[in-house]
Amino acid sequence: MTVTLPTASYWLNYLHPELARLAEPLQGWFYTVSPQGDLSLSLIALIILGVLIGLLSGSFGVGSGFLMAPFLNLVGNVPYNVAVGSDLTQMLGSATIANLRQRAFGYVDYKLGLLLFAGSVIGVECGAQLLEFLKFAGEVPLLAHQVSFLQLTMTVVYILLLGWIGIALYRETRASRKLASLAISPEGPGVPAGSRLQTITLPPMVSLPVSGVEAISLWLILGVGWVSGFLTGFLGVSGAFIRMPALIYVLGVPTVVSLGTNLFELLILALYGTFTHSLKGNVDLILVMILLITTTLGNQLGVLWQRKMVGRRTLQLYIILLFFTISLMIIKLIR
Amino acid sequence: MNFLSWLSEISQSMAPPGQPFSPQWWYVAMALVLPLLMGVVLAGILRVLEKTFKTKLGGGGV
Repeated sequence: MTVTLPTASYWLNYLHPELARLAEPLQGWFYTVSPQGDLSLSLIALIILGVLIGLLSGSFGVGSGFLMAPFLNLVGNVPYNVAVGSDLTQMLGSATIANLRQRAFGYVDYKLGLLLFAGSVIGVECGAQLLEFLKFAGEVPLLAHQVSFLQLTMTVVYILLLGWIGIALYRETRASRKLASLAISPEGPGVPAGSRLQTITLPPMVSLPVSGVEAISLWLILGVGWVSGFLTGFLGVSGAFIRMPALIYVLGVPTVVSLGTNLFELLILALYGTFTHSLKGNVDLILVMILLITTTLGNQLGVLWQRKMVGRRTLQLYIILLFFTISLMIIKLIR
Repeated sequence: MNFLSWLSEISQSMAPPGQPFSPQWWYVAMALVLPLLMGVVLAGILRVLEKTFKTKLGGGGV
């Protein structure tokens, strides 16, 4: 059983005729392109992909955005602009679920959330505009083939992002193994970079009474918002892996407040991101529906699995998966 | 199935062939409303499952 994706088909024909060559070995297995140019994905493959990525997100607590878009492009031949836009729109649904279910666990600093949003809006728009620029930047020669600039750039960016996350996770597993064998406290003697950033007193200064922050430079808040917003607009990721540490270590927000504020900010950020990406035609509504249902199911399964099984060994498997994905992306680009 | 066909229909560009994508008003509206509505419904289903099976499910991942 297959499902035809109207927006992905449009962009596949308009911008990416070379994608048919790039993903040729998978044609018939995961997707088909009709003589009229309609891209149809196997429903079973989409369900497996959504459940698997939700499972990873639920069990490791790492967002699914940075894996979803590359996989949609890898196995489904979905152009990157549609993969990013649809992933971001799916995230709007996930953020709604998370806000409804986790609102009891964390306090929300609405003032901080709205200030972050002010920076994020500009970041999302910059990211979406950069994607728009790449979309129409034409093709470049690569190993005797023509590849769209969008495909080349996004592949390189996702390889760098996945590589960085893989290396960070690998270091974490190594450090935790060392700590376990030495039985020492995880607190290091160094001063975190965030503490130094908090000494910036560039006016205007704002106070955040709910977070217990007496005075902090507005530019610092806007900067954190801009960076996470840019990642959301450009890559379709939630940016929580940047925003959460930044809220706690850079802005000095207590963990319980940062949890609620992060979710609140993510909801309004995803709302704006969806709006701007839909205006640019980057959202495939049918794909969004399938992904939202399947990732929610996978996420719940992942949480159950995590309670029972996740340890250092499964984290190592996750790292292997990240580097396996990178290898596939390189093969797809150069073959 | 009719709903999917309708979604497919509103996802078509209004611009003539060869021109950049021009979205329909309904397409933009549905991109905003559909995930929000589905999120509320899915959160409700999870709540019902928790009550029915007296278990604690995850908070939803982003």
